[in-house]
Amino acid sequence: MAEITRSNFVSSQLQGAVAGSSPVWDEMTDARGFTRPPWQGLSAKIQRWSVDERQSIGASARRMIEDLGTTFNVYSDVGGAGQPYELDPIPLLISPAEWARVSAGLAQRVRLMDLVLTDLYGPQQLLRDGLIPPDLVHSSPAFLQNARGIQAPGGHLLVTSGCDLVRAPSGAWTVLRDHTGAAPGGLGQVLENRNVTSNLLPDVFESLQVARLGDFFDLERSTLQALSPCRSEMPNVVFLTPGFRHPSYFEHAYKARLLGFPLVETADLTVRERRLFLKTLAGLRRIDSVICRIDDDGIDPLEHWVPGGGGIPGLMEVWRTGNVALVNAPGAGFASTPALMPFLPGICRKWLGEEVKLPFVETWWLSQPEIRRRVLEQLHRYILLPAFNRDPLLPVRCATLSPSARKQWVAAIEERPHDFVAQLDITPSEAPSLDGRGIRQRPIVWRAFALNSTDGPVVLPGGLSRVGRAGQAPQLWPGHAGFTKDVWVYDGVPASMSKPDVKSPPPKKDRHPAALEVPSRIAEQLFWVGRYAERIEFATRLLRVTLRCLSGEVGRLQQEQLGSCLALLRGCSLISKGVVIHPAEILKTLSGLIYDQAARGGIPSLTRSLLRNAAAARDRLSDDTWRLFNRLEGIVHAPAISLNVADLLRTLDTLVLHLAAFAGMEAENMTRGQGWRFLEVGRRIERAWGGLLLLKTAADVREGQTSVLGPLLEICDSVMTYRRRHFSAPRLDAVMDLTFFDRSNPRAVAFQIQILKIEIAHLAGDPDFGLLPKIREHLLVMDRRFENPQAPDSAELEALGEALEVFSDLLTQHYFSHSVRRVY
Amino acid sequence: MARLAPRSLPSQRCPWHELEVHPVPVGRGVHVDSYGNITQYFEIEGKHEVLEVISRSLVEVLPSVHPDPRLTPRWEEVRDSCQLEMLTPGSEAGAFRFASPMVPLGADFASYARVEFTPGRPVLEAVLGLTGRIFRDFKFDPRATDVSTPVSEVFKKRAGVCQDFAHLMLACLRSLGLPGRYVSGYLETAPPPGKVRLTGADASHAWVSVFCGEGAGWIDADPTNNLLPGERHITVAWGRDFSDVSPLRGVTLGAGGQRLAVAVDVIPVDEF
Repeated sequence: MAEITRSNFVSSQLQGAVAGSSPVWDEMTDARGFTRPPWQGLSAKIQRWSVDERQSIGASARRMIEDLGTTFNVYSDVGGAGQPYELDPIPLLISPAEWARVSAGLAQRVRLMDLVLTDLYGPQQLLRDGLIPPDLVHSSPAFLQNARGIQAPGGHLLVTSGCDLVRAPSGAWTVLRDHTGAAPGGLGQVLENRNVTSNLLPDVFESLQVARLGDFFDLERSTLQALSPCRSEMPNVVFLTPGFRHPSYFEHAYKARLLGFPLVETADLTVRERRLFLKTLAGLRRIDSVICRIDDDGIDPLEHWVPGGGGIPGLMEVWRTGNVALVNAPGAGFASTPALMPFLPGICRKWLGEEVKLPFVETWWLSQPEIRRRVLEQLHRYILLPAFNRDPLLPVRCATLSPSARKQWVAAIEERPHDFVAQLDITPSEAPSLDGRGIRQRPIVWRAFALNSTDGPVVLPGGLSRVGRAGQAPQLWPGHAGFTKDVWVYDGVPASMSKPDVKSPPPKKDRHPAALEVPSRIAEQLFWVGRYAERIEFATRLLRVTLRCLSGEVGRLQQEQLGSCLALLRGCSLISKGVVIHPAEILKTLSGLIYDQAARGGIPSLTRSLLRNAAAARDRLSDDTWRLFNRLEGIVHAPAISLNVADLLRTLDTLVLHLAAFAGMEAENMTRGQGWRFLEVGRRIERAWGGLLLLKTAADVREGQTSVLGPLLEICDSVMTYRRRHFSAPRLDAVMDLTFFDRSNPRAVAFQIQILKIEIAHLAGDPDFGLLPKIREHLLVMDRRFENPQAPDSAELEALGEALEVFSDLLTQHYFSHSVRRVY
Repeated sequence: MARLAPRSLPSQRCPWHELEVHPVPVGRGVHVDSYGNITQYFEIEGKHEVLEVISRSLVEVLPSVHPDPRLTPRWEEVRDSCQLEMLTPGSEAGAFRFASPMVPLGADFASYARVEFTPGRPVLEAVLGLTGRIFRDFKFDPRATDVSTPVSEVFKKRAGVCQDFAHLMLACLRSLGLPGRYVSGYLETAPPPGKVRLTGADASHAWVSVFCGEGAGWIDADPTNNLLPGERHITVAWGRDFSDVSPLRGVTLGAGGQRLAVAVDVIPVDEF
């Protein structure tokens, strides 16, 4: 009995599978050497390109992608997304007939996969009917036990998916791999590729009447809104990314902006009373749907505990209760396993009453003894893939294994057969590719994308074509980005035809209410951008005035001033308090503060802190601001530490100018939204704090007090004003007037407090709620000090500095950490 | 998230259970997880320095009848019976044959187990042999390991606590292809002769359950105490390993350290 079942498996799995054989299919040229008709225009065009033109087109493509890339990419230094991918400007052409076949096949596949997932996370009838071996589910770490029995809000477990297709030598598009998990990567990239390629080849693009992509994204937006369990007119959808360190962050940010949903991280979301909320400045905002790009084991530490793992505690419980839709559902990634592929045709026949429309590359799950035996007999024909786990040694191309390595793999398969899948070693079709200066034939894989909309599955008319290296099996291509080209479905697929069964989505409101809100984390990050920008400027000015004492003729006055500057540097903790610096070492110490990446409190480390905060608030900063920040890092990134005073001064001058440019952009180009206000508040707090620290240090210097006042005026950028008003050497009372009391001097402490009063009054939320009354009261007390004309002494200055820190903490508690609940 | 409510089984009934939490939670939920355990969820909002969770249950444990070990099927037969092409009511045990987050498989575990699982030996006899072997070879030492110590290290150190021995025994059984479950529960400890029962002296405990074929079904084994659990063992939850059934798991926000104290009282109704 068992024997019969087993052989049934073999025969049923073989149906629909495609075996590979040479020769290779050529996308552009047919077997007789003629250019296929639709390619003729494109072919003529690319063949006319001179070597120079090829180079300049390649360079344009690279530059355009880089421009897009720098828009989102952050520094490799901050652990960021690294290199942008490369684009091959020659598109892949797909005929209308092929498109009809493939899109119908993919739509069927999405329906089937959703059905399979819904059953496996529910009654598991497929296991009882013997359509899927029970061990396939039980041995898979990707099968999420905690998701069993949950009724997914919106009904579908699988909403967005991707599918890698190769063209078999017979000419048929064939499934190589499914992507059903958190990140069917590349959909954002598709649009970038389209923008660049259609700009490079505008005439070919027009004459081929290439199907447009925009409708698919509109449909995606409305589908995500429709999935929300609260059927309000404007459900709140957020796009959840693992953060800017993730290799796909670039794409997440692009996609979120395109769909118009806020890009959030786990720290932005919180669960209260089994509902999900976004922490915003105005309070907690209820969230209805989440586009979830976080792996299953990182979404909820209560249910998937991994050491050091993050997540949103309680999210699974919110989902279980039906209070939020998660897309794709946790656990949907299980269907990505290639081990499932051979069983799909049987399920399709039994459950949908149809044959699978798309063939798939011959694939075997090696857990079944009969199948294992057959595969091992001809192992050289296969690529070994991991069934579930990310095995760092797989995939492996068996044809290239040494006899001893082969023996080891066979032993591993016999020991834990359920961990292995064998997939036929196939040769994909080839298409022309602009590769450096030449046009070469290179193998391609087409990644298509589908959406399980409320009215059924819809396939994107286009996609991403990945370009590989000749002779390398596509299963072995790197998983991420790489070299890609656009996919053009040509000829008369007008925009409206790309979604045949779907009514157009209702017109969107111009501005979604949630889009106007600033998540607390973003405000916090901008607050720190303000503080760090100001702190860098403060340190730069302090170092500059110190270095000036070392240049030129060294007289008695300069010696005294140098002593005072060093006292200021100590007072501001840039130099450790107890350390005595030998005169010969001074220059080295100062240079270290400018260039040494490891120096604590030095400019490079402050710059990294600035960039880290700026990167996390990336989508709130303009591209120009970003470019400016890009350069900041370069300025203090010297190959060797210079000990030349003039060089060091030049570096510091450049820094001051760049920081001034940022301050100018902030003042002139940023909308006065909540984000800007927090940046401004951060800057003002820091400047007041720096001023108080300088004045306190000056007050503490008892001997030769006049020598400290000159540098102090310079740091506060108030030398000109002082000269105009006093025509004399600096005196403490007059300097105090100008840098502490003067409400008209943008560098004076009083000025900062005045601005803080104005900005606090404009911050979001009910002014009488939570800590806000206390915050205002605190500011008023500080402000009152300036009405007393008596110059403050050291103790008073210190007390004011502490009061400022308390004020900063109160803001943090009220707006950022939400320790007091404010729901709206 | 708490798994503290005892399960109802043929050999155990739980007519009453109550979970008391201080401070009072703002959100609560109950669901049955995919292994049939009652799972309770709660949230606490606002500042608190102490979180108190009190679980009270009335449990009736019936004497369980174990089959004669010599009459149980050969272990290879049990192993093969679980490798089915389709799920049948009796074959759901097959789900517990694979590696899980805290139970790895490996040849070293298999060879350790093979000393008892000799060819053709009746399954329960071999299970009893393995239970005794772990009991003798491994030292009970609460300082040797903590909650996250991997089984491989326990295997090397030859020391650990009940959770480690349960995980180790599961690694051995599953490496041979036999289904094994992790059981979390309580153990009633007998006071020394002539002494009064001490409050809080009983223990939360863990042991394993082995599938011994369709006839015998699941049979529990306690490698920490080298016995087949009886009336002193109260089953609360089971799963693939500790990570499926940890009695209380949660996240607290805030600075400062934390200290955990657990006390268990198992009191016979007539002494209550």
